[in-house]
Amino acid sequence: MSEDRADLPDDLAWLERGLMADHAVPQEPDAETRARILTAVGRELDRQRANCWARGGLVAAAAVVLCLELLGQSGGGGAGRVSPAVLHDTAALSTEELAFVRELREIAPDPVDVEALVRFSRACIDPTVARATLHAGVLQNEAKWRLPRVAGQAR
Amino acid sequence: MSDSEISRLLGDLARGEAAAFARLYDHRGGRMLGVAKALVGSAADAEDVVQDVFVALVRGRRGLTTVRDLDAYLFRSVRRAAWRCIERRDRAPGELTAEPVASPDLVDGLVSRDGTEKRDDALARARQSLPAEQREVLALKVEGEMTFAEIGKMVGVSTSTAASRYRYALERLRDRLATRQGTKASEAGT
Repeated sequence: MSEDRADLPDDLAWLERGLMADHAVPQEPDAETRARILTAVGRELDRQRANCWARGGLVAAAAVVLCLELLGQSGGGGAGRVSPAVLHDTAALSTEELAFVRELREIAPDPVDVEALVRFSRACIDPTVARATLHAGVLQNEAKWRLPRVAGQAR
Repeated sequence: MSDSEISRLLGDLARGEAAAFARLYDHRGGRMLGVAKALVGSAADAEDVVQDVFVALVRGRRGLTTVRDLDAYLFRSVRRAAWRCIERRDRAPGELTAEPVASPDLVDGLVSRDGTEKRDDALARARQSLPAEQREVLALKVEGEMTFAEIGKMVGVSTSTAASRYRYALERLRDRLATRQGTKASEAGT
């Protein structure tokens, strides 16, 4: 017997061919099933995002931006604006988090306008929750000490 | 789908991009539904199983970047979800039911294209009458399109045991069909 062939007598081989042929018959795409399952996926993603907001995930996203910019990881050398591509790939920010970052930047157009960013973040959520989020591993290690420092600068 | 495409897909899934889940469904949803249906014996339950798997994928999405074999991961998930589904139907915990769901006396043969709907329904019932471990291997082989080595690894048996269970499953199905054909022939003769 080879690795993927059971040596079958003729009658079983015939039966196997029947089963395989049935399986190979193209099925009409069941749009209703697809829609139902993907709707459930969408609901779960929405629930996660809502949870993320509630737990300060967006504040953490803002902190990631701050940290990357302060650390000079803008991709162009030196401090400055971090590109969406870097945020997406390096910081693993979701589309929604990136949208939040864009919203923050409208409030604080200067990339080092820390005070405005932190003020906005505090308006969203208790900073202790943001720190708890850091421990959840959302941010890079540097962020663990950058955010309290940033918050201190803003006081 | 190439390795690099799968790797990109896993990254998109991990980031929670809804479109990536749609891509995954279009890529593997059909096979997942096929395996689930063969395991739980009902199209409606199979949809619930696959939906459970997709929702679980969303919940654990951040770990998806560490998945090395997407197919194995998906079908293992389907298998677990099918067990839970069967348990919910008050079957023996932790096992696929070995009890016949229905008598296979409606089986009309595999090759005839007449009465396809009835034949498919009867065949599905006959498959449900197989012992759990045989039904599982048959589903993973036919609907899951997996090799015996992959099946053995997934269910925790050797490759040859997986192949043996498959053969036993076919023998049982053949015997069911032969019994039915014999009954029909004797009915025609009386």
